[in-house]
Amino acid sequence: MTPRRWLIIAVIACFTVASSPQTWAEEVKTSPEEASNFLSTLGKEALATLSDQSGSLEEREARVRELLNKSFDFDKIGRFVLGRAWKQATTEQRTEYQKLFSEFVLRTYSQRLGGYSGQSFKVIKSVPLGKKDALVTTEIGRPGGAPPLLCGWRVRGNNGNYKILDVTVEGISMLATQRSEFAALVQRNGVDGLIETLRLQVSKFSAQSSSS
Amino acid sequence: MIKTLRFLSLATCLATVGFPAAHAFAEFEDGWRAYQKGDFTAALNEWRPLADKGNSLAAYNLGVMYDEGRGVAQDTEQAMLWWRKAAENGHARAQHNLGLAYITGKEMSQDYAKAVSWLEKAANQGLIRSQYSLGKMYASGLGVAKDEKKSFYWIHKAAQEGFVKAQYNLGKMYRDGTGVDEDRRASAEWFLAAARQGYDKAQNHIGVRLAKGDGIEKDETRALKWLILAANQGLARAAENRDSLAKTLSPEQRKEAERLAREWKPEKTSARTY
Repeated sequence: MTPRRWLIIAVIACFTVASSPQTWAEEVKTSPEEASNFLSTLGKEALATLSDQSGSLEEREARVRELLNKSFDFDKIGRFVLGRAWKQATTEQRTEYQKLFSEFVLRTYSQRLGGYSGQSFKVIKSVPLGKKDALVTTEIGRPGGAPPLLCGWRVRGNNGNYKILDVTVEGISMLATQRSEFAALVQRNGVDGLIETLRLQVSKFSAQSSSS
Repeated sequence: MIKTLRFLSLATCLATVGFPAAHAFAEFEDGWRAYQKGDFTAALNEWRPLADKGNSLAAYNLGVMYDEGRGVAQDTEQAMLWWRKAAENGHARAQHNLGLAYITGKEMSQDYAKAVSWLEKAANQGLIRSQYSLGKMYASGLGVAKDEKKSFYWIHKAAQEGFVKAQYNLGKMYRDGTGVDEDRRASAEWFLAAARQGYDKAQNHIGVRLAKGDGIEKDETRALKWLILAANQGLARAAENRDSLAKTLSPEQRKEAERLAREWKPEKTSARTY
């Protein structure tokens, strides 16, 4: 994020705080320091899981998916990403969509982030974001001279319970990207069409050994 | 002398045919070991030359690596290119993934007719995921004209193979007469099959059916068992059904149902539920 955008966020944050002294006391604010600890623990656990070479790559990534599953607030994310279509959707469509959407995100992220041998992970900085959240920036180092991957994690804390609300990879927000993609899909094929497309996405086969 | 000749011809055979094949196999395995370790660059280096020479499995895996962005930048077009090579050689999973890519890829590369044609090839080779995908596409009309009969045909195939969601869908199709004549009994059987594999929605359905004796012999204790199991998985509707049924049963029946639910274990499920 550019310094200019930071400035804007800071100005907005100051303005909000100053203009609403009553609500300020009630707002649950996420401590950047604790958010940073939360992410650094998560990163360490994920790396430990991935570097444990006893199982297959698929098994290791399944364990990372479980870790991430506990750490993402999929209720909020899924609802936001579906946008206006959430209101049109039936209860059955909503549950089906939420299941498939979380599977889709977990799959994508455990593949993109995980898997590499010799990865490193560290928290670069953590700052307040908006009224309630913290933005934690991490660097994932890759072996073989590949440039490190910079990720931003929007984290919200609630009574010591931390959840990820968005991931920004190389400056691109998952929430924003998915929201516009899904809106286009819903427009073309309806909510059912989106659900089917998601289901197809997660039914792809992964790499195959010579014996299977 | 004859022995020597035989040996010589065998050696020649091995040198010309057997050895390269064995060599390719060893290279593929080296690639697989590297892949499992997360050394994707090494895996690519082993598999790319094999794929170039027409090895379908290596080409398929190369496609997966491009699709998932492993060791390379994510690139759906490259993935489709390698999957197409393997698919044209009859590789079933490549046919499946290629078919899906024609639907889920960027708008530019979307082509539903090609998607269906590749998925059908994979489904005809017996891939359950392709069968189920086709069934759902024909049901929702995603990229194809809605066709209840074709939908039933493919979902029935996948259900027979034990695919839990297909079994549940089939239960609904027999119930509603979608693509097949309405049949309450067959509907209950398929709900039961999916319930036995642990599918919460199917457990709720079969619970209600058993409570009413609808398409299956009435058995309120077993009904309560399934509703408890579905509710335990967090299905709100099932919790309501459980509570209203429990009110009408004797304490003995409730106890028995609870015991059955506690001791219940899912049948071995199909590995993936999509």
